[in-house]
Amino acid sequence: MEDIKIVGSGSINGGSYKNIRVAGSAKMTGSIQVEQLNVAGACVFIENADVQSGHISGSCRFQKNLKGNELHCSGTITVMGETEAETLHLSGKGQFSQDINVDHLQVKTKDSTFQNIYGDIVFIESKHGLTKVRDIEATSIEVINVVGNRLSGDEVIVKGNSEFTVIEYRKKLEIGKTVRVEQIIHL
Amino acid sequence: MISKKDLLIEMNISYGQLYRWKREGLIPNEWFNKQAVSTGQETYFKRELIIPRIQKILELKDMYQLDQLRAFLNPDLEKRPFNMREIVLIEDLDPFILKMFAMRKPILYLYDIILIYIFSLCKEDISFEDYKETDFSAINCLTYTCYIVESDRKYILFAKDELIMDHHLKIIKQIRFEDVANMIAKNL
Repeated sequence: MEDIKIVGSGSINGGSYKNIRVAGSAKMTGSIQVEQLNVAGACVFIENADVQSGHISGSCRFQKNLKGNELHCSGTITVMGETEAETLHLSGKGQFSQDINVDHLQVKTKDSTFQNIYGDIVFIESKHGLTKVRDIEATSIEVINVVGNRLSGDEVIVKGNSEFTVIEYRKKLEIGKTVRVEQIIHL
Repeated sequence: MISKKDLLIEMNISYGQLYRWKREGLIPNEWFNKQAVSTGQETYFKRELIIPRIQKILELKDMYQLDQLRAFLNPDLEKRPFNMREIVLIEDLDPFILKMFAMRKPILYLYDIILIYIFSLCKEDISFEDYKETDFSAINCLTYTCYIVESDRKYILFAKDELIMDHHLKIIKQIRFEDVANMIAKNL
């Protein structure tokens, strides 16, 4: 497997790579499998991407599915397809058009949009404004300033100006004073 | 059907475990059926599929690595052809029976291997020579069980569900297809 480094702008065909480093802008035109991805700039993945370890400090757009082991994004990430990862850390802005299945999701964001999130440990904090989700199902959930339909988990903590239609919990529930919830169900 | 919430309670597992196993390919995506309910959406599973699968994962997860476990539970095992290099690694296959099977079918699939294994295991009771012209193509799912029964002589029977037999017949061997498939997957 080869290494690829793009400084400036360039495009990469699909294939398996050990390292891809982008400092500038790059377009991946085919399905990509990469052990280590580093993006400082802008990157577009036209087909599915399988990223073992990824660090994104610019912006990345995945037109189809994103699969990864450990993904860190401190810029902007957009995923049009489904996302699967062991760990996903986002400290920028995320736009996820389809479901996320993740073991450990940590999000500290200003304004992000998620669909359904399924996983083990989910933490989402919206620093300014409200982050939108549909449903979150996870063993442990903590959300701050998040708006959505349903939270379901063993341990659920909801703070800030969060709003949910339904919260389901099995073992522990903590709800802040300013949180609005229509229905709480103890499973 | 069983809802996801009831499944978690019944099997004493967490959302994290369930979704990790889905991500790892141990539970097929198609088994997650979303249906609209008053609170939005709920996921349902076919009870007869999901309960045995989770029991199996819980039983095996500490004994095998992920890849082995995936192969063990791989639903595609039923669809893919086996090459001869793989087949010879499977223990207890009689080379003569294998050769006869391979002569009449150039490409062997899981159910062929299961039959070869069963005829190998039962060669003291049943001769494959007597069945070499038999069409076994209708035997195509893992819910089958093979029975070797005895009355005036020994017979081989294949049945999907529980077998009700004349009391003159005595079962002397009983082999579940699923057990053989698991053994084969372990050998791959």
